[in-house]
Amino acid sequence: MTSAILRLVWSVFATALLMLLIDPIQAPAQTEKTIAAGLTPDGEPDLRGIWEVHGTANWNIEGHPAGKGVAASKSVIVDPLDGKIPYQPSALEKRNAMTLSADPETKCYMAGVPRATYTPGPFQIFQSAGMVIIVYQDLHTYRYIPTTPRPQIDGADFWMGSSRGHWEKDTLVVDSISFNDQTWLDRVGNFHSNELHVIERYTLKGPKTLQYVARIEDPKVFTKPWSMRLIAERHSEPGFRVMEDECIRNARGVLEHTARSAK
Amino acid sequence: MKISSSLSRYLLLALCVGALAAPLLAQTSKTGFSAPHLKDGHPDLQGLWKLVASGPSPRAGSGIFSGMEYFPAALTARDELSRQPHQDLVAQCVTASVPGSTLYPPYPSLIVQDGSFVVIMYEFAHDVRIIPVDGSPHPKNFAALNGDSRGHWEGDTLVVDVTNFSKGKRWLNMGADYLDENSHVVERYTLTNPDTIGYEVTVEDPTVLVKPWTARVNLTRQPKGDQILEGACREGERDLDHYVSDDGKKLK
Repeated sequence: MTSAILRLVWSVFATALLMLLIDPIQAPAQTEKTIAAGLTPDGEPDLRGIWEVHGTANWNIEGHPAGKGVAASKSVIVDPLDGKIPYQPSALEKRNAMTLSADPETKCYMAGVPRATYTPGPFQIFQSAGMVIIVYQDLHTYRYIPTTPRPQIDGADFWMGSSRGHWEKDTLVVDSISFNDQTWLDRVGNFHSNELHVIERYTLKGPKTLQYVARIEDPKVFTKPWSMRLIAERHSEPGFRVMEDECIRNARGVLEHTARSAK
Repeated sequence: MKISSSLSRYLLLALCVGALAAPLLAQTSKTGFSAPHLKDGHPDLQGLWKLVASGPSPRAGSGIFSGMEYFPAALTARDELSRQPHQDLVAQCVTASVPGSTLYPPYPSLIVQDGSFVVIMYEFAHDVRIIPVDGSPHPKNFAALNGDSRGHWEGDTLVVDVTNFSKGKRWLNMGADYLDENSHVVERYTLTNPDTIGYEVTVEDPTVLVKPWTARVNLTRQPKGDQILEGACREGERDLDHYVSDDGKKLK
């Protein structure tokens, strides 16, 4: 009898411990406040607005010291707990050999997912019944995300992937596949293959705070799935807008983003 | 599977469609058709649309562009421009601009209505227009290649007023029919039957056109189940290497 109770207590304890180990993002999230999103006219959680992630993730999503024009920062990776991307050994060698000048962003290519979220500049979320649209200022990149059941476009080689969304309570969950292997995760060369699979979770944490969690899976490059967490802040300045950002060769022959040069 | 569009495919398509197509006039609703309305009370123009009847014109002054009456100096400028194909922002994968995005590339566009915005996403070069329909005015001290679009509803017609264009000539077709920064564009989108938007555009340009020019085309709803695809253009584009600028430098 006593041993049965002990076994029960132990199994509950072990399960709790296991959950903590398996899912370190969910665990702290439960102690944080999530505000219920308002509703759109169609009765869906309302995430509409212009948002922007500040920080240095576009430079390096892992923890890094200060560099030229870049502040030091903690890693934005919350799983695993050491904040390091769980690369396969050969992939880590490849990452370490990357050069900054090879960053596809410098050629004015679409940033990819999740990088578009933390590429400098805001993004705007639009909603209509059964769909979410995200327009990123950077190179007028947009994503069409149906939130009603619809099969993925499988086997394509998109820069921004094929995305399908659904709502889990007030959280928008977006599942994306069909990526090419051409985009990077940041400037220092963290990368993925065409087997990239991203699950993003957008949750309103306050009227001006949107939490963004992206779970990254890629069996060709990583030993296990890993997750990053970022905060986007709402722009509420009067007249604030997503600017036009085209990539045009300047007088010196260098490609330049119009939204970054227009000040 | 390679879905990303390449410039060569686009140019080929452009030539074919342009050669075959004669513009059809948008028809006003004589059948008593009434557009379905969204919860905000406005007509539902949402969906995936494509210009079927009229495609990009390979020649200046043909088809829907035959109504453009140029000032003499502007006509000379057009003919000079037509010998500099690298100046076309479409060839550079930048933007077909307004109203070029609707009249020029034979790719679909997705219209989404968000209460206070109408968003038009073009498959060509993943171009996008965010159009406030909240009564706000055009801004001062603002210029963009796509201009600044402000929409309002006149009955069941979405009227979009576009000004604030960046300095420069923006091509309307491969023959270098063009508009410049002084142009004022008014677009009218009307659902004429469940599967057709009648699109009418009127352009004034005091430095280019002698009188306002109006074009009408029909946009056709694409089959249910189709969706907007990623129109990568600059990404991985190799044809730009073939263009050489005025000073002999290759464009990339």
